[in-house]
Amino acid sequence: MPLVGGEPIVNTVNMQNSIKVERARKNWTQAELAVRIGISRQAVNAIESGKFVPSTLLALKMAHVFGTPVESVFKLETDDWK
Amino acid sequence: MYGKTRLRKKQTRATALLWGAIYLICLLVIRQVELPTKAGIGISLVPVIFFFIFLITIIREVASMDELQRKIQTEAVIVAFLLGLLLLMTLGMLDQVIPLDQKHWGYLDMVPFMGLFYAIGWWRAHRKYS
Repeated sequence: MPLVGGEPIVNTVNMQNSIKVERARKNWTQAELAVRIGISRQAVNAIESGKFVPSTLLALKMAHVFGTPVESVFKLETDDWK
Repeated sequence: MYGKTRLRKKQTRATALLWGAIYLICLLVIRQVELPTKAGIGISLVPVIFFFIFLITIIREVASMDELQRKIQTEAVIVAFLLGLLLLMTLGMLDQVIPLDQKHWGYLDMVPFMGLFYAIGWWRAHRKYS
């Protein structure tokens, strides 16, 4: 593992998200959300299930359509801040 | 935006089929018909034109993809490239020991293998994110 200033760099990040909750709040399907932000349903599913971490642009778009701040949709797990 | 990707996908498939058909026809002509060298060279290079059309449509399709689809394509190409390299390296090494018979193996035999390696890479990446 690479070291910077004696601290290990964590390469694998487990980002939590509340997309499913926000979708349920809006009563949207994955396909509907996909259309609103201009991506595929597969991409929405991969992001929602944590298999794929979106770019900042996509995360911001998603938060925008939900009408919530981006940090309430996407959160890093405690260990990933180290 | 995603409708644009579907259109690009159709265009890519159409140009891929066109290139594939032209490639097979030219190959058949070169192998079956006795041609003067210049005509043979000309026919051998015809698929290149169609391949470039195919290449342009692929680049346009990738540009219209979302970031997950691009990641899948990148991973597929990485797998295809590395498996292709592995096959070339292995055959090259074996060729040093037992010279390969050109009747049974040539440059053209790499073409379907590269397609197969890309398909393996795409399938693996697609499954990973599904």
